[in-house]
Amino acid sequence: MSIPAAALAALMDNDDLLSEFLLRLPPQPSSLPRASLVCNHWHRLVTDPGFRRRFRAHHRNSPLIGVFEDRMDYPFFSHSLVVSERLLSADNPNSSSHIVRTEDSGLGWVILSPKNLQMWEWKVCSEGVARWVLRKTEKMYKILGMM
Amino acid sequence: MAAPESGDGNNGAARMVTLISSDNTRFEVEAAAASLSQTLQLTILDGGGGGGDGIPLPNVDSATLSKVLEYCIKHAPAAANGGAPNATAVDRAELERFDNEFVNIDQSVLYSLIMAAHNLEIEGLQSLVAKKVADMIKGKSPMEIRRTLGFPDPTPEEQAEMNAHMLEYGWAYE
Repeated sequence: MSIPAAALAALMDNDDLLSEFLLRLPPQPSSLPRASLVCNHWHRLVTDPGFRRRFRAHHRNSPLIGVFEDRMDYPFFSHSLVVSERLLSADNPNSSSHIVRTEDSGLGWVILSPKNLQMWEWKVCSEGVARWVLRKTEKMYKILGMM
Repeated sequence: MAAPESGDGNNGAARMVTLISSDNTRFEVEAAAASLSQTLQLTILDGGGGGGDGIPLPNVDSATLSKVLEYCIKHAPAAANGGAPNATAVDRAELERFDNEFVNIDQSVLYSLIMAAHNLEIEGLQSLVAKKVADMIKGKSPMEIRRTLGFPDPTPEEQAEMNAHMLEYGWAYE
């Protein structure tokens, strides 16, 4: 690849430009974590609360329908508190939850922790009882492709 | 000559301005196209860039400037209609096709365009090239992103720092 180092540095050292690129990443739960591990500079930018607000604003019409900071106070998901508490306590406080639309327009719940990504789906069974069902657990290092 | 527009009440030749690239090439374009650049717009409104004067652009070389102007000329009619609220679906599809083709370019050209769009503050073009970079890196691992963008491989120290971030913070969400 014949990219002059100076041209690359001029682009990538510029926070304004870099954040314009990263804002346009798809709003999937893996986008920002991956970007944050590209280098220290990206890490600093992506973990900045201001950037994350902009990212959410940029994607507010996207399939990501909610990200809540204080999951235990969120009444709508009280159903899943027992499950989430058990899952989260086994891991560490850096875990976070993201409510997403699944591909078939169902309700999905993604739990991110330093080690795992878990995808849950809101399922209504034949008796009309709804609950969260674990669909998939992925090791984080596999998703990030670090090893 | 560009295809004539059906603009009413706009008789006579369109006003032209001259832009001068860093390597001293002169480009004569319609003022409406050059005005997509926020940076140039004020100068042009003030009557600059006409006649033998020309507006020097010391940060943009001729190859990049001709590419930038290709974009501006294509987008000027829609911009003149205030974002083209009355544009037909066909017009919009044509612009989209043009945009997709436009950024299908060598990476070093793309990088020059990004810089030029930034310096000249051409909003639509800034957005288009930023989206292109995002598309190049989406779905890729951190290492693949580095290689795609042309970063050198991380030093062992950098790698160790990244591993530490991964363990300390986990995901970039708190």
